[in-house]
Amino acid sequence: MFLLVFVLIGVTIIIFFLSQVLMNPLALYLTDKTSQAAIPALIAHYHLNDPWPIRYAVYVSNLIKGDWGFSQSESEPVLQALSQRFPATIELTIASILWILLVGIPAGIISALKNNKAPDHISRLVALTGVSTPVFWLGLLLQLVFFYYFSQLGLPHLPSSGIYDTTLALEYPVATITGIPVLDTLLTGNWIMFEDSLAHLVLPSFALAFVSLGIIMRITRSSMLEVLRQDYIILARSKGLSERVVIYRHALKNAMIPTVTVAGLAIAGLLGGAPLTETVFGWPGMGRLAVDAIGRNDAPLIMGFTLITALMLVLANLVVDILYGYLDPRIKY
Amino acid sequence: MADETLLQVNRVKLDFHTYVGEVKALDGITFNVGKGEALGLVGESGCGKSVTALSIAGLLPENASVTSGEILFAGKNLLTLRKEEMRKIRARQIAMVFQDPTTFLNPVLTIGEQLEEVFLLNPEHLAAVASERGGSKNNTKSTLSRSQQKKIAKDLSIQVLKQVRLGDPNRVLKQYPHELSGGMRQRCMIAMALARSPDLFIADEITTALDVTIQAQILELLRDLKRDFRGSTLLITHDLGIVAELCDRVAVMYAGNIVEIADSGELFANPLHPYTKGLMRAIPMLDRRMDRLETIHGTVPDLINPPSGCRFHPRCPLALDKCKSVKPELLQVAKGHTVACHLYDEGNA
Amino acid sequence: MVQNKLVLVGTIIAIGVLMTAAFGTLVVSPAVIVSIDLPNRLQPPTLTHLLGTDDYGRDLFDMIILSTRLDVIAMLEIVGAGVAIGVTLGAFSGFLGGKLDEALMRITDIFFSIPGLILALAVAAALGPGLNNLILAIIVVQWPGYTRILRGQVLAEKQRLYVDALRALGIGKVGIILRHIIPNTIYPVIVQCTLDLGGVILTFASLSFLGFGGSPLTPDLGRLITAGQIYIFQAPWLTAFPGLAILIISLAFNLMGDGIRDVLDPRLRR
Repeated sequence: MFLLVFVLIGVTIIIFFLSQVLMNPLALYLTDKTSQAAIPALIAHYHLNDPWPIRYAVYVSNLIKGDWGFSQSESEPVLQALSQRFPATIELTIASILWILLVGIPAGIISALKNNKAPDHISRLVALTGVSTPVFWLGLLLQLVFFYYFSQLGLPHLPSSGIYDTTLALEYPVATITGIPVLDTLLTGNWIMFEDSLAHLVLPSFALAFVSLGIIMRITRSSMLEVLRQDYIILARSKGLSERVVIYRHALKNAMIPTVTVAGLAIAGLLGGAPLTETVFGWPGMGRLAVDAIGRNDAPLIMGFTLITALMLVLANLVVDILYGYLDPRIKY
Repeated sequence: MADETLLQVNRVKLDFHTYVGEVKALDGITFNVGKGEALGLVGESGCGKSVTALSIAGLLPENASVTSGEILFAGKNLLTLRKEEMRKIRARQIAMVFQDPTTFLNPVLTIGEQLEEVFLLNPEHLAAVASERGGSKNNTKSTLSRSQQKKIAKDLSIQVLKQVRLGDPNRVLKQYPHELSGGMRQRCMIAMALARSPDLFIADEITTALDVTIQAQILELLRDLKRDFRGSTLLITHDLGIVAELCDRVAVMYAGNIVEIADSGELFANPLHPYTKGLMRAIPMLDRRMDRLETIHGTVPDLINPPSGCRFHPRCPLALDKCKSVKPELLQVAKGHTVACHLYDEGNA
Repeated sequence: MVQNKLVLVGTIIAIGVLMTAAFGTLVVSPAVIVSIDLPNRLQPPTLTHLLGTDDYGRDLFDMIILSTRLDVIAMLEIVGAGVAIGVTLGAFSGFLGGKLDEALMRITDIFFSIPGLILALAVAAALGPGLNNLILAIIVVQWPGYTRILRGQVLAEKQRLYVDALRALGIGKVGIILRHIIPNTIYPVIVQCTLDLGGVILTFASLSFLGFGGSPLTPDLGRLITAGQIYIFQAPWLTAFPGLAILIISLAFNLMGDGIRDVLDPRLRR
């Protein structure tokens, strides 16, 4: 737990360094309404002329208070801009995680059970390609095939960009409960838009998941193979338990342990790939906001985005650790 | 003691397919276990004792294949059974306990979960227990709900843990294997076997991985259990002391062959096969002064290219010419005592 | 066995890629970048232009060859510098130990908690535009990994007897580190960096796709895709082929890395 706090502090130090030391410290806090006269007051408020330790302390306390600086390109505070786009990124990330869980893990198990036969070779190929594929290129190709070519050929096709069809939404307004369209439409029974949001989600989440999918597949496969060789599996079989029970009750829980440890890495990959995927698919998430900010030289926004992503990763690793502790009773915290 | 035969192994040959060649692990073994008797199967490491046990229980690995012979159990040839039928036999009639309680227990499941699942495989038994308790007439498994079954399974688990002398069974049920000591874990494994009230109990070197003091405790447990146990036991070990303590009859194995079978007392008093004699001489005796422990000259043979004829002949001090080319069969030499050695062929003894 | 054939193919392709990078300009003139041939723009693949032409009429195949050169050089620079920094820091930190070592390990922990691409993005944004800044940014992401690997090895290595012998002879710590420790512990790092080559080129291409790095006069594969994506439906080859090139390069180096790891692995178990 201490490590967690320490890492968070460390991340803020890095971002502090990048935004306040490498760049003009004032840039973070200038709003579009700041007048020339107001600048000295601003400097005083943020202690920008004080020695670094004080500046850092002020910086961190401001972060906690919610003052992450001001985004010139969005004309609003950084935190506000980010939190508006947050649900969209969450929707994308969770959908990708679902791909990995519902396709990657079962595929890994099947690869292990059908070791060295066709499904195994296919999964190896997918894993190898996955790790070498540029996410943004994959996204573009998916759009080309599933949107453009399919529609040219008259086949039912998937939409190429956006989180839902805004024109359609004029007729069937999407409520804002959680901010996540798939959830909100589900909760309000707005089936037309639910289907629409889901359709929009398919391609981007698959593209994002593709890289990590292969890795998780292979890890599940190899750890499953390892587990099935263990002595306690022989005992389980000797009890007369059915093969299904042996695999799902005795083997799987053990096999998931190495997979979960890799999960942290996989999530880091998802978070890192989000900006690219969101850009290619016109997805209104934080990643795309950050990328646009690059073009507009909006450094405060980029820094804020980095900070929030680091926070998300730290949290995800915490969840992974807890999951790990639950799976393996030998671990004590 | 043994009026009828429960298990009959006839001329079973078994090969392992490996990268380096075919390992001829079992070379046509024949022995039987009678109802209610305890047969010891002794031999050095690698002689094929564990493989024999796995063949009986149907737990051989993928690369093993039985090339000939039959294993008759309760009127059926186990080698020809379908997987599903063999599974049922393992669930009710044949129970096996293994050598290393550390690796053979599942680390992520509690003892309770691993024990109760054995009972839950036998719903008829649970129903019978339920009706016994309830004193009512419903003794069909369909009348018991899942949770009722679990409750009875839990009670039976506590009972069997008491049987293996584990204090505070309630606590043990909730514990994970790594929270218990080696001796306790082994008792749990034995409990899992007893839970089936099996007709055949196979113990594969169950004390080998334990400390000497714990070994003694487990031995004592086995001795006590034997009094009440009405099934047959196949006790696999390399420790002749255990054999002397617990077994009615003994079969001696060498390099994939059964070389001698006799009643326990008879084997110790009158070993016939040169290998058995060597084994007996190698045991340190407390009542005799010994300057040096005796060993059997030579090493265990390579089973990919085993010696021709009698597999023991390269190490046998009494080998005849015949031994190099002709494999000796198990012949009865005295009542209840068979041996596979040309020294005892008709006309030679 | 199939796996070994794959590794062989990968290694051959990887060597081919390196050759292209080294000698590409002998075959394809850099002048292609500024040669504009508007009547022939956006042509699909034909016999004269094997992979088609881009929006300026330039032959895509030529452009890919020239861009590969830049990507490969960047990739080698990044990994090279990352290894140099990582090995030095890791060796000294691991060998000398103490508070400095503790501090360095915590610092690497922090770096690991930010997804690589995003950290590179942030650093590149902070440093400003330009190819060198992009390379620098990715180096910042790479060094912690090598530091940790090497430090782990060094911790084990310094327990060995010969180290005590050298100290008894009066040889200074720096000398021991440079001349004995590093050469003996470097194998896992070598394995790791060949495995990293594939990933680094993906990061580089991704960031240049987003707009960091080079300029129109110094094209790289990521940039080609950025330019091509506007025409994605009319001229899909402009996006497909450069991306395919990235995939092949990354795949080849990943396979080669796997092969090297399998060869060196027995040696790692010392």
